Amino acid sequence: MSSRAQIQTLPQSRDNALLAVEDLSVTFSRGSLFSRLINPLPLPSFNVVDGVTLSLAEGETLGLVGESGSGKTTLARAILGLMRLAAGRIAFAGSEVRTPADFRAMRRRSAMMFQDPVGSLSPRLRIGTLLTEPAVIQGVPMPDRRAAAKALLALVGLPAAFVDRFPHELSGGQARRVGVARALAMKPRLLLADEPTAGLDVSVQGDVLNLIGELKRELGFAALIVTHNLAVIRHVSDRLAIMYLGRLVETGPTREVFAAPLHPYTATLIRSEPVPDPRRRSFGPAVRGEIPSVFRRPSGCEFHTRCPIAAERCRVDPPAYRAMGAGRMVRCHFPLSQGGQELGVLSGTSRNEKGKST
Amino acid sequence: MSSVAEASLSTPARRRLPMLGALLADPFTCVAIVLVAGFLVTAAFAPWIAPYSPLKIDVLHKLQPPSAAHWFGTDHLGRDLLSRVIYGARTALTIAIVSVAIAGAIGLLLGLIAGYGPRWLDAMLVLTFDSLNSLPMIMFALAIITVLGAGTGTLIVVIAATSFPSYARLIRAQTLALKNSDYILAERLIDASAARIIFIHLLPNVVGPLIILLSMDIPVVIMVEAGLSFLGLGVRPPTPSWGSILYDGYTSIRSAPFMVVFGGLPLVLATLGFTFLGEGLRDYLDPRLQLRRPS
Amino acid sequence: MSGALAVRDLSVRYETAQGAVHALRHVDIEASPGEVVGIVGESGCGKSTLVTALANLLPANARADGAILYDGVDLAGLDARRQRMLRGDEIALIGQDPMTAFNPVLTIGDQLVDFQHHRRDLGRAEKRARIVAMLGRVGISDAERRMKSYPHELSGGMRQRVAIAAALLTDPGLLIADEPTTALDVTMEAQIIHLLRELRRDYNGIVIVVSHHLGVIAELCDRVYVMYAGEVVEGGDVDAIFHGARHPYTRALLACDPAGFPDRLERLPTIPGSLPSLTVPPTGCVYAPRCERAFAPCGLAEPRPVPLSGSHMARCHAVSA
Repeated sequence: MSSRAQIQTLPQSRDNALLAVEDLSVTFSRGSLFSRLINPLPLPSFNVVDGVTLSLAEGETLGLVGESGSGKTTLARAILGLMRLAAGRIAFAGSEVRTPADFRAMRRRSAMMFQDPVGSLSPRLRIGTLLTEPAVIQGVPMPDRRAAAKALLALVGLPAAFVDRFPHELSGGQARRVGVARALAMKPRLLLADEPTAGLDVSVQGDVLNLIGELKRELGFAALIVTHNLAVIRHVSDRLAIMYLGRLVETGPTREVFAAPLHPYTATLIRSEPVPDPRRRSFGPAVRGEIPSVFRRPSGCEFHTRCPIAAERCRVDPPAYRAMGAGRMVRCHFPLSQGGQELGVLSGTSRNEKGKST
Repeated sequence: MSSVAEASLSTPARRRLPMLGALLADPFTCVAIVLVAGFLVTAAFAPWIAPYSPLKIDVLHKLQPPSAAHWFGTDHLGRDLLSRVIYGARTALTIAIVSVAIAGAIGLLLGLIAGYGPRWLDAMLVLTFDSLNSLPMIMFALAIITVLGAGTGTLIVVIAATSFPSYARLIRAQTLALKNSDYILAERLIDASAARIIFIHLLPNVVGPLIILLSMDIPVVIMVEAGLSFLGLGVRPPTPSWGSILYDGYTSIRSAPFMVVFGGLPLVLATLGFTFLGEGLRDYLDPRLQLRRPS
Repeated sequence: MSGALAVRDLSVRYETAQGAVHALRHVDIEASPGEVVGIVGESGCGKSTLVTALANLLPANARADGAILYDGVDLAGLDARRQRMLRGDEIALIGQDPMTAFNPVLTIGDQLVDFQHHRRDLGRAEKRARIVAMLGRVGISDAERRMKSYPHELSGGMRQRVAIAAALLTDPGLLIADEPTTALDVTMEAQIIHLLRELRRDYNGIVIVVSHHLGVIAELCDRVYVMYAGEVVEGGDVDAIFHGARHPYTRALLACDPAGFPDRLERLPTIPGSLPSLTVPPTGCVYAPRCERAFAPCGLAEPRPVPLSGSHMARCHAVSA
């Protein structure tokens, strides 16, 4: 648990941030309550999220990118208090969030969209009831609930007749829109979206992202978008945070990260994305091997088992998370220099740019 | 709790009719509905349907075989058997429905609390369910009867107390499975109270299997009631009950075998009716079968 | 030509209580050995019906018309026993989630031995030797140890490798990969794409890759068929499809893929409108209601396939050779 003495010393630079997360860790321990009772030794615990520090400015969109098992969803849920924090601090709109009451207050001003659009809507309630439920819970006076629900449906471009539908009667794209409407019903200052385009067709995912973008311009909330889809996130986020095994390995402005990734993992992620152009086929997989489990976190730098440029030092010495230039952070002993030759090792990193010129 | 009531008050139910239609599509369910409805009507309107009073003793005409005056014949005290069977339906169904409803309600509530509540409470409740489940019903009934005395009320208490733990376990398992689903997390995020989550968001999604189980348990309870009454532990003598009719018939089975037949027939029919109804409901509500049905 | 696949005028409809759902209409597909053919389309386009039809696994309420000629023989005309033999021997399927393809209580090795049950000429030891060789080919180095593991002990990428090995063990003439990388992470996806491409070198059968992911199709295929609402709207060489698409739907689909734009877009392109009903398909062109180039004949007559250069074909009134 964090010591009280440090509470006042939240970095000055983050004071204007809407959300500041410091050194946040979430721990899973294996073993049941029973085995914990009879086992005198403390059970090994594993940090699914480990020492994550990030901030989000008012109105900003941050893309949190990682593969499965990177802890990105757990981080998003921990921020809203759905998971117990093992360590770390969260500050929302300038004040620290510590007690359950603080989390409740924060949740009232934020919203979350889940990965499964239909599954995150209570199956036996009608859309109209679902849309006005947040307001009812918060005790907002509402003379005509149906009209309020219809107004929300209109906001996300769905017909008013949907108020009487059940969630399972909607298509994935429609349920996604209802999810957006429900998330924004209380005019939140922060939106956390977990894979907002998962399971949607390409022709529909643009629709949903455009809608979120439009509403963001109109309502001015900040957004944290959790995704593994690099192709999508590059068009919607201002900044990127890349996670690997529960730790942030790189953060920076989206455009710069894509143009010149500093961490080899970021570079391999970008390179792994299949490009819809048969003339620019990849020549070999950017990275070999499997993502290790957080239960068997590699020593030193956690990426060294798969890293194409890993050196002896990476095996033993965990790299620090350090600043590299304006607004960029990286956790690597040998960050790829901006546009330098090391990129040659990971040839094709800036393939998209090359492709344009040919 | 006013908000709880509010949320459920929206728009009319559109799904009722197709549900009845779907149930009637299956011939077994159709027969079951007719049987169950028949018994319910018989029980409800017993005083108007029964030709005689079930208690009127007429020793001169005892153990008469079926005739135009007494369709089912008379018993060893000369009481009209048809009237006793009709009133017996009333006793059987009242006891069965009331005790199953009480057990279902207790099971539903405790199951939801065990499933959604904190772990220590869950552990305590599960221990309670298991201890109650381990009691043999007949012994438990004997113990309760010695304290409360035999009678309809005691029967209901015995049946409810011994059957609610299995309902609670079913509901608890269902609740645990739903507890971490996205929509429950979403409700927690908008600060829905525990009561709201339990009653509006969990209850409607866990109650389906319980209804099926309850419907299939009604015949079991009717049999238990008949059995206990047969043993003299259930409904007290003058009150007509299928179990006591069977018992009386059993003692005079040589001279009047029709008593066993007419006492047993409604028992068989009620069992079949409620069992088929339960199976029909299961076919309708089972999510795996639901996939094949157009939405 | 030996081992070639030709689907001719295939239509499949499902008889449901609400009426017939026309899942596939007049589908023509050609594939020759050694070729990787891609089928691309969004949900509801009929990809999965086509896969089940090719694998001869259509459900009982499906009615199929037309012909699926494999090696010159119409699959529909075969009796049940020969169909089954063909399925085990000649046609192999790699699914989206290989977890469901394996029995959770048997080891990988045992299951891979079972997959070769039709090879009565081989003993158990020979079968195991083949498995070790095949697992090595799909990039599993410690094959002996992996054969002792259970499906749940393998990661998603590893299971997909095993599924590919299982499919290849039967020496199929036709390998259907149905969304082979959809359940995987990007880095694993890249590895599986690479693996499938490597395997082509010494595999001479037909590979059919079905995917909604344009990137996967572009990376893997020689020839591509684009499907929409149960019809093949355009087909041709992969380069012709991705660089010279003629059908308005193909163009719109390519334009929608955010992976196609390196620079940030304020608005992502979309295709307005929704899929037509498959119960009552529109008269005329299926894409006409959403098409920006629709004109008078589109609403009236079904467009015929217009042959373009080479194998390139588009089913559109607005296209001329």
